[in-house]
Amino acid sequence: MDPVVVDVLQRLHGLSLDRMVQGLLHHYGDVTWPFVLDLCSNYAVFLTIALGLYILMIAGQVSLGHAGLVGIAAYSSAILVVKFGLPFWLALPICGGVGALAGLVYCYLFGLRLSGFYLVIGTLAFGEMLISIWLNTDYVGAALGFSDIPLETRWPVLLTIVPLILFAVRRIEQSRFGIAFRAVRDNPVVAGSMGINVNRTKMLAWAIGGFITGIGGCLHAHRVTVLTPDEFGIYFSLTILMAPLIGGLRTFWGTVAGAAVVYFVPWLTTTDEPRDRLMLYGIVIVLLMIFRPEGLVTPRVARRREPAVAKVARGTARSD
Amino acid sequence: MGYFVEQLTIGLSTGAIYAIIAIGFNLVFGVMNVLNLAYGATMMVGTYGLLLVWFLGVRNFWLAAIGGIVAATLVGLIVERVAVRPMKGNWWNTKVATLGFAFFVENFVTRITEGRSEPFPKPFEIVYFPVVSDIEISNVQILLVVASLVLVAAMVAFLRKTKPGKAIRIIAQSPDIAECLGIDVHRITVLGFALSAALGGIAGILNALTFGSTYPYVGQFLGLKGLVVLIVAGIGNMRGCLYVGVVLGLLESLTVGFGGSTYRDLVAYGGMTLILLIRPYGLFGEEGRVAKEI
Repeated sequence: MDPVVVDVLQRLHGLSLDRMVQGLLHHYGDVTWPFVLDLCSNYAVFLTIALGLYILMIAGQVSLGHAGLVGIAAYSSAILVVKFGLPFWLALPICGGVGALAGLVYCYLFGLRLSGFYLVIGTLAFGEMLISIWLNTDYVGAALGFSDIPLETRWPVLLTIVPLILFAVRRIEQSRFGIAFRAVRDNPVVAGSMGINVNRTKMLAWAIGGFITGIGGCLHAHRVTVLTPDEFGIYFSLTILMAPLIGGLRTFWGTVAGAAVVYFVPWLTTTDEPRDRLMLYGIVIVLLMIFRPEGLVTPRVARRREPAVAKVARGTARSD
Repeated sequence: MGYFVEQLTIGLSTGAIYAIIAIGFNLVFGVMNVLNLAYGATMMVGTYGLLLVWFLGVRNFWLAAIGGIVAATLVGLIVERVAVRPMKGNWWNTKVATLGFAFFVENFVTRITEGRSEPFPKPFEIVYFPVVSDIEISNVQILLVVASLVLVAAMVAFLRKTKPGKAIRIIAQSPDIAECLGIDVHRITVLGFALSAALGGIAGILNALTFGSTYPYVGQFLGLKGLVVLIVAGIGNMRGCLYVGVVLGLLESLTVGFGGSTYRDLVAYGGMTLILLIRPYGLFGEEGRVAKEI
């Protein structure tokens, strides 16, 4: 038999379950508190970005170029801090503004013109186009990446900002705006006839979603400290989009839970071999979609925890 | 002049591969309204299936290629069974599940092959035929162009003339009516998946043949390009896929030849953005073709 085949067979044997479990246990033995803290901080950054998308999704605006939006904010924060010497705490709100502006550009180009599947594909193409632009701009480091960004996103920063964002998103969702968003998502024509300005509502959703994503992008840039264009591609966008989808029918707590699954499961399944991790991750995703098609937090669970305002709103606008 | 024509021939052969991928996508996506994100993984499995048969001792490229196409088809059927059928038509769940499946397959192959780039066997020695003075075309390029033309013609004929092809088109319009007409919707769906996966396997093998190697993540890049071609062409249109695929291949190779390789993706995605803004339903598509709620 060819030595290549023997090699492959040996590695197949190395995939046996007990070896994986051993690797898993071995790995858990090495976990330290700083590592857990690190992981939770990364999760908080990811959650911020996912919540930005969640705001868009309650207005029916599904974006697969969301990583591009994150990239715009991340790059602008890096430029502001490294090239212009602005302090991090000043760059943060500016990046939020940049994100909101970028969101409005997305909205003007795609949100107002396209819907459904075509919106998804349009934003996807735009996100991929942004990557090629960054790859060809020497000012932001081109393919080598933008390095030497100071590490600022430590847990005290996250502990002040992320709860604020969680609170804000929850309040926006339950406010008149949130109800208008859902009405536009469920039926733009009916929403328009009820006196909701559909285009302005969409723009508002993109601006708010873009602002939160911008904050997330800034936090991301100062967490990873090196930005490369490729990381903002479709796979990042898909990962962000998986959070609301896995978590459960686009509900707030679903997004929080889904982001946790998307972020923690690859780490929970880490064995000695890094490739096992993504392999097991894939299996977990498929199994979740088969056995929890409605997501982790189903509407029934979410409804029990819902305040009265949203229950009244349900009478006027069909929800989930 | 010679350089220009050389770029054109390279563009023509990459364009042919894009066209085949877009047609495979079209079968499940345009026709059955399923976005199969594991399609890239299927292509990759085609190339590794060929390598496996080759290393098992079958030192004949064409026999090994059949092995690769069979492997790709099997994976396509598994995708249908595991990641599409249980989702019962839920668009988003299908998307997430097929993506998860792609993660699994790609990393599984990386795990058992160490993930390096594998040299690919050749069916024949590559010969360059001089056409006019300094312009040459290789036999691999001829094979690619002929294969894509034959496949497009075969797909169009299949969808228009044969019974299962017509059934696929009816299902595309309305699964309920198809059922009323006595069509076994389930069986035809499986058939469509198998065909699409086989096409993916062929595209993967042809691509590996042009580059002389394959690696576990080759499908991600190819799948995305196929999707671009499909969207620009208009969902559900087979001949449009051929035209747009070839034009994209030509544009890309001319950009690489005269602008620089980093601008290649800018042309593809920038052009797609522009076309979506001007004609949201694609160049050859009809309005309202997959406008179902997602």
